[in-house]
Amino acid sequence: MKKPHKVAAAPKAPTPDDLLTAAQGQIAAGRYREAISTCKDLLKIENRPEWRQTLACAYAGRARELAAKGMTKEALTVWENRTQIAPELPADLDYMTLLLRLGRISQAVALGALAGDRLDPATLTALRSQLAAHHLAGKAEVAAGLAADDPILVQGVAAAQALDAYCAGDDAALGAALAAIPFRSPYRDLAQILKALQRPPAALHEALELLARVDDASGFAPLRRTCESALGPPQTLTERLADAGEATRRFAMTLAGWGEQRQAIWEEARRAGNSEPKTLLRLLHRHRTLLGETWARRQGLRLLVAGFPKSAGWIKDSGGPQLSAEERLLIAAWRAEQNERSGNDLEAWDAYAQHLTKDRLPEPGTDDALRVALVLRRVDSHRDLLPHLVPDDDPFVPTASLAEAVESSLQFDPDDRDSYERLVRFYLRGPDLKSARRLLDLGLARFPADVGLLTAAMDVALAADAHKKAARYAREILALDPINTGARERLVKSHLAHARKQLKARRLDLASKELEQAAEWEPAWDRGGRLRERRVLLSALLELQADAARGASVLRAQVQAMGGGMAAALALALEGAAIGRAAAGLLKTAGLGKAAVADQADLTAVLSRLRTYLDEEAGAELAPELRRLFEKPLSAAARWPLSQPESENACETLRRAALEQARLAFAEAALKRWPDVPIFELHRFEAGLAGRRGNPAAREIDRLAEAGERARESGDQRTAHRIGECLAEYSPFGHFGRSPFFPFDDEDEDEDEDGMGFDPLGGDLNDALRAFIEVVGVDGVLKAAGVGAKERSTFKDIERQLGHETMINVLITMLGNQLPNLLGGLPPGLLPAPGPAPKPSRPGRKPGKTTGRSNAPQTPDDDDPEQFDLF
Amino acid sequence: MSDPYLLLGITPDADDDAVHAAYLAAVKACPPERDARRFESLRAAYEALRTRRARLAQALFDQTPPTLADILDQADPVGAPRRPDREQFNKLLRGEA
Repeated sequence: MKKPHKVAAAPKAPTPDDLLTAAQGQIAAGRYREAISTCKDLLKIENRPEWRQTLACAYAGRARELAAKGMTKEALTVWENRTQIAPELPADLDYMTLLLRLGRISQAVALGALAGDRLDPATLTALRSQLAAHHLAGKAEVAAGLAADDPILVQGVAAAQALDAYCAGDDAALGAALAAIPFRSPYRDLAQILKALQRPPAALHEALELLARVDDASGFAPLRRTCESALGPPQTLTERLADAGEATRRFAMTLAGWGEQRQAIWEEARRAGNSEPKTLLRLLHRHRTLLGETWARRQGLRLLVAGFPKSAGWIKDSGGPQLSAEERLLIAAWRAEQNERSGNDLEAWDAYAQHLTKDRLPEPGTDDALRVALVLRRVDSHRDLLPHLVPDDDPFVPTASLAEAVESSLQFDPDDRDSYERLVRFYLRGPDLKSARRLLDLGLARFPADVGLLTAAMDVALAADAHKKAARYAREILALDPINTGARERLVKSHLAHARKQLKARRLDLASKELEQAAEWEPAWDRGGRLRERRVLLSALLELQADAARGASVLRAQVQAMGGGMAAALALALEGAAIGRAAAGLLKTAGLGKAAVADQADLTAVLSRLRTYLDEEAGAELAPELRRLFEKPLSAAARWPLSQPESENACETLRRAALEQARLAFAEAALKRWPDVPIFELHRFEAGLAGRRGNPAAREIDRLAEAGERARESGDQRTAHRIGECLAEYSPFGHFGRSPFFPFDDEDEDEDEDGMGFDPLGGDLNDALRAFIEVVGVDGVLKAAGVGAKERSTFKDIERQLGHETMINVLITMLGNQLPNLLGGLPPGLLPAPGPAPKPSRPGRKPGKTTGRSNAPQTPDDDDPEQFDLF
Repeated sequence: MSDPYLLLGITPDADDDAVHAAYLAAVKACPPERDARRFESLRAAYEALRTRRARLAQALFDQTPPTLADILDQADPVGAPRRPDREQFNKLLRGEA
């Protein structure tokens, strides 16, 4: 038997106290609609006056809420409900303000009169200022509802005069009218505002202080707020007016100095709702007469760049004529320039220049010619390319076309000296001395006294071993710029070089003359007297050629004056080598046959001298004879205690001089003092391998790899990178490219997180290659590739360490790009079935060298070597 | 304002002297110690228009799209503060937004 359902007890009806508390809470929380409902429930119980006033309070809240939302009519109804439910309460200021806003002036005036003394003073003041504002604005109902002697009417005359005087710009009349408005006048706030507006722009702070005195409840508050908007920063005026109505906007813009046309165009843009390119294009076209046809059109073109070529139609959509061919080419060039990575800018500007000259070549000196010249050299001037390029050095930059364009620009604008110098320096780097001279001749013909061009001319002459010519240019430079230290030094060096040339040719009189001239131009600042030293040594060598006995004596005296140590010996040996004299004999003659590094100062001096030589003779190595002579004494000098930076410098200098034995000695000495310093590990590794046959031992590679890791951890990226490069070269995988075990290979990190680089060829080919290696064997593959026995044994060691499977994977990875060549070298029948084509090179890998403007895609074979070159 | 002509208050046919004079006048009116940013803009505008070569380059290579402010400045530059008329006052006094 089912249990009967329990009958729920009826909810207990709320008591009046509950309802009152709830209503008061809802009012406090701003939930006026609920409060109104609760109060109505309460009044159904009993119509108590205090409960009616609670309902009136809820009505007032709701009315303000609706008014704030712009629902003025609904708000007015609610205010009227409030009046009906509690007629004993005085009219609320917000109710009267709303009535005034809605034009129900008489009603507001009547309510104000009715409320009379029951209003608190602040509310009364605010109400009267509102009535005053409406009276001033010409609302006759205000006057009709007030006594003839009411101050609103009496003082309204002076207020109106003040306002008229301000609008008319009559400051004297304004001052007089403002003086007639008493302090406690309902027009007091207007007086403050007009006084603020009279302040000059420089007294902005004072003006804002005056405006701040106007209360928010005042009838003049909207005027105050508008003035404040107008006086704010001009750049953000429109932002401040974004939500303002038309009356406020117009007033503020006028006050801020905006003319009618400016306001009208802004209003038009505002109606469009945005400042997108299409909107601006329409404005430009509609107001082109006012803006200027040319200006409007050119600005319109600039609006099309970002979306070009799709945007080409916008200009027609906006009402303007279609783009001309010239405009299209110009926008295309702008677009190409903005998208530098496309590499099309040179081509795009060239097309534009061709268009500018297609009908006729403009006369140099005209604006048209200058325009063409500027366009032709745009890519170089914009990207500053020529100073960083060598002719035909970089396959990614069409250097020849670039230089050609700049050179062509001189045809139209031959007065651009910078272009001459840039081109000369560019060709000099080639070196393409013929082109450099051609440009120099043109440039110097126009700018014969230009120090920059003369310096370039001197450098070209020096590069061509034309020392006499170089000296002539140097003299010209110094005549124009006597304190040009660089030219003076170059001139001395040029004379010394020429003297060496003459000595070598045994033309002693000419050599002597050159040395005299070198002495004449020797700069006073020659620190350490290196130039002087060289000249004196050359003089001594000249003496030696002229008279062996006397020359030997002079030479000995000179090297003694230079300290007689290893530094002097090196200086003499270098000068001797430069004139073709055997260094060993010379040193013997000079009494330096068994020279050793005398002390630490001598060591520092010899390294410094060596460094200077290597710097000046960029790219030159120390002659083999000098290496043989200096290797041992310098190795022995490694015992001198240098500081760590000095030791680093010493190793680096010895590396550049190819004095590997000495470098090894210095690196080992440094490692004894500062164990595990990565840079010295690198020097020891490299110097230790120099001259040794075969590859380094695995422990040497490990030690260097650890040093690289330490360098990376300590933030020494440069050393880490150098070690990485070194490991790549010396690792058994060097000829396959990077080793899959290589720990510093940044380039492949993205593609191959686990370092094994597996599946490099795609599934099918991978499988085929795997099957092939299984059949032929690892050793067989390496043999077929021409790998020597010793290297194959290294691979076997690796296979033992990593396992056969991993070894196969490693081989597949390494053989990726070499596959076609490798297969070509195998006997027929061992080839796997053809699989899919290998993956193309990844973006960013340099394609084969290209020149000119060709953008033709490279064939896959372009990157591959001719032969499978392993070891 | 991105247009150097508007910034210096000169027309596109201004020559070297006119550009120089406009720059000096603009700097005098707004010295760097008063508004460093504006001075920088004036300086940049001057450099962009200083020579005939620079003016031609500016016309050829400047790709800066105009802003609404540029169009307004070209049409009717902001002038000295103006006084609204009585009707404009009355609208605000009547409470019109």
